[in-house]
Amino acid sequence: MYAHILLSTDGSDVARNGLKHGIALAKALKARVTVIAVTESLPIDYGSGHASGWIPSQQEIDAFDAASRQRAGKFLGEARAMAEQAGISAELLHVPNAHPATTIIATAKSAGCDLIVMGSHGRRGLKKLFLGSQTSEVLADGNVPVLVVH
Amino acid sequence: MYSHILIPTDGSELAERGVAHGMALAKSLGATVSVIFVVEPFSEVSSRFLEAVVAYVEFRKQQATSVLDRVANEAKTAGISCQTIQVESGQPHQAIIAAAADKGCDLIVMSSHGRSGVAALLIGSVTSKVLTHAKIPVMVCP
Repeated sequence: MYAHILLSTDGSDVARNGLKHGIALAKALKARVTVIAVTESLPIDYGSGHASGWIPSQQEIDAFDAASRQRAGKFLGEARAMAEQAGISAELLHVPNAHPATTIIATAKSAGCDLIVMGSHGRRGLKKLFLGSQTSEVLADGNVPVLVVH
Repeated sequence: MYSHILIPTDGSELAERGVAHGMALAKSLGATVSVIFVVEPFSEVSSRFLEAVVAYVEFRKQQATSVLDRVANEAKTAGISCQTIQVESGQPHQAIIAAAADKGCDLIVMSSHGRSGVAALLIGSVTSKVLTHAKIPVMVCP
């Protein structure tokens, strides 16, 4: 049915539900699994006219990058543990300083994934949004089926 | 894993893609399928057009029956256990979610778009509302 499933996580509880479903589905269908975590860049505020804005120093950038790597490593590690418990293997991928939806779509394409599994909402959990912003964008791409888990 | 999949269709070509995908998934998982077609009554207009409204609903109901019969036969040929549901509702997403609860479905599989087509919206209105309100997972097919 599916040869290679891409599971996406941002460490949130909803994402964890997505992982649970994705792993169970992959196991039942004997599909390969890649778990991707995309972390965003430090915002750079270039300022305007009179407002000075904020441009991070190299030190701040490095510290942020290290923290992002550590954070992603933690919840990717959890994903691997979940996969192992289910008796399947999973490839882990952390993509830093990128836009999540764009990267998920691009990775699904380049890795030849035929299904994407993700949570309906992410970290921000803004329930007033009908659907999380990244999930909305991935759905709008419309290249492969997307399993949305609440 | 998923044991009972709900597949909504409005009879459109795009919706058919969701049906095909849902059926294939059900087959792979050994799951049962319920296929639902929601007939939307025309919104209330003045009594001048009542005849046209009634005729339209009748036409849609016939279309629904014919689509559901065909899908049921295809499922039977493929060896998939399949039930069909035909309801009238002004809020298709509500009817879909209610059917999923009623039948104890654990997954909904549907196309991203139905009759409105791809050009009109990034994602179809019914699919979008099902995604918002469903408690069970929803697989959206392009």
